[in-house]
Amino acid sequence: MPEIIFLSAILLLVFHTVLLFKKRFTLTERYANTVIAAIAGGAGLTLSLSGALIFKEELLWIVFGISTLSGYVCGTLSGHTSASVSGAMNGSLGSAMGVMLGEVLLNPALCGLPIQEWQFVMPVFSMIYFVITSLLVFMTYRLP
Amino acid sequence: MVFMLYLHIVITAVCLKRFFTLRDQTGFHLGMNIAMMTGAFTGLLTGIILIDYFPFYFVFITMISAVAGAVTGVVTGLFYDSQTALTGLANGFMMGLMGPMIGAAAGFSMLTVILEIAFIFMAFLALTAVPKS
Repeated sequence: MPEIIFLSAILLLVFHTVLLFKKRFTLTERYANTVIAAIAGGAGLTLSLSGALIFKEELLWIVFGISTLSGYVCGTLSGHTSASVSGAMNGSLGSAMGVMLGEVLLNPALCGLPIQEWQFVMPVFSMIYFVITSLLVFMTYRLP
Repeated sequence: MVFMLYLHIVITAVCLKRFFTLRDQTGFHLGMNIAMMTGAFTGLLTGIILIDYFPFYFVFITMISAVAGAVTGVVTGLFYDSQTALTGLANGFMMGLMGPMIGAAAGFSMLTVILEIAFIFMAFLALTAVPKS
């Protein structure tokens, strides 16, 4: 299950990046900042949460690097430099949160919690959040 | 302990009513800060208080606090702008995810009281900053 979510989050992020690159001349700076912050936060959270459940304490630096770099590339391709700063910051913030949540889900004794159930719901929930954010972003493209 | 949650809901409702009446005089930058602040503090406080009551349901408490923070951020942001609503959604969701982890690691301590005092102080500062924006 986390593998499907990982791949679909990467596909959705690439789709967002291509669409932002196509529309880069019509974006104002504040709009690009807001949109890229939301996209990079959701993508970093989903990618690193499912990646932490897939790789299990190995290769987490690759997931973290992918999330930060995706925000950076997505911001740079939209044509505004301040948007790339915002994307990198929100991507690294979201991926830090996702890695922390994934480690707590794998080993709840880190926070002094008893054994939990239903851990597989969490990546699905973050993917639902990413999809809802994407729909809101698609709806706001027509009003600049 | 659940009194703190009740107190937070009442204070947030009073502040939001005041922000709603002043929404025409508020600049977009201050509006963005207000949306981020209310969403983030609602998510954090909901997570910290609820994980102390139900420590066996970490996943569901995380989902509930994330949704609470996101909804508060969106409702506050819709007073001003659609971009403000998007910012409030992202920030409230992130802080709502972090809340139960902090609450489980730290326990119910003075943390909740200090966060509530910080929220009241920040809401007061935002209310006084409205005529200058």
